[in-house]
Amino acid sequence: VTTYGTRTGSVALTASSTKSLWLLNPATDLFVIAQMAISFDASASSAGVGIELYRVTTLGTPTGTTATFTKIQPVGDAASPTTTGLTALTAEPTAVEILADWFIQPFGGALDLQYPLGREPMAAGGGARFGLRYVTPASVTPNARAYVWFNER
Amino acid sequence: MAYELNPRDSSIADEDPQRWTVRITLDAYPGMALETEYDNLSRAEATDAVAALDAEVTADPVKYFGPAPE
Repeated sequence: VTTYGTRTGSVALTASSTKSLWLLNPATDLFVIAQMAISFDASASSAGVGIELYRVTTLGTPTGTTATFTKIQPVGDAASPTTTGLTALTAEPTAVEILADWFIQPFGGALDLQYPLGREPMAAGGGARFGLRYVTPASVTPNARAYVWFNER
Repeated sequence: MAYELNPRDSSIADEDPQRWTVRITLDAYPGMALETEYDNLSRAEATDAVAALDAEVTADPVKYFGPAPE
């Protein structure tokens, strides 16, 4: 098992939009999501931003920045992930099923979630992709940073 | 404009249907990609499909990639 991570860096959210921050494709090997986080930088309180962890049911033609992966553990070997991904998507998957969702206050709100062993969302090798997306109300446009760590095997 | 079309299983004959992964990139959008998959297509059918999608993306890149980076 090797743990890899990818991150969005600071992304300016669009108001009244549903957009994905990352989308992982288990191209060959299965992975489980071990840990993920999102945080916001608004300078005043406002309506909450919806966050949704989802599994893709109809792919369509998602588009975004090609994800770069860093190895979290172990260190010292040359392994690289077979999983591929996109960050800060500009075109969304066609259809998804939502596995978990939250409201987060953009003024200081943060979610940093570690899934317990055995209860991690699992993506089958060659199977459906996993993503995290935001749903913003009108006039709410904080910056966000998000990351995900996944165990590939 | 460039696309990659890769078979899920390279041991399957070209004329037999299988899953294909597709990746389209545009010179004006460095570091970005469009990804999709085709199921149950032969290589010739998948090549036709990706060529049609590539033409569509090239004709309207903002729909998929958003405003071009500065």
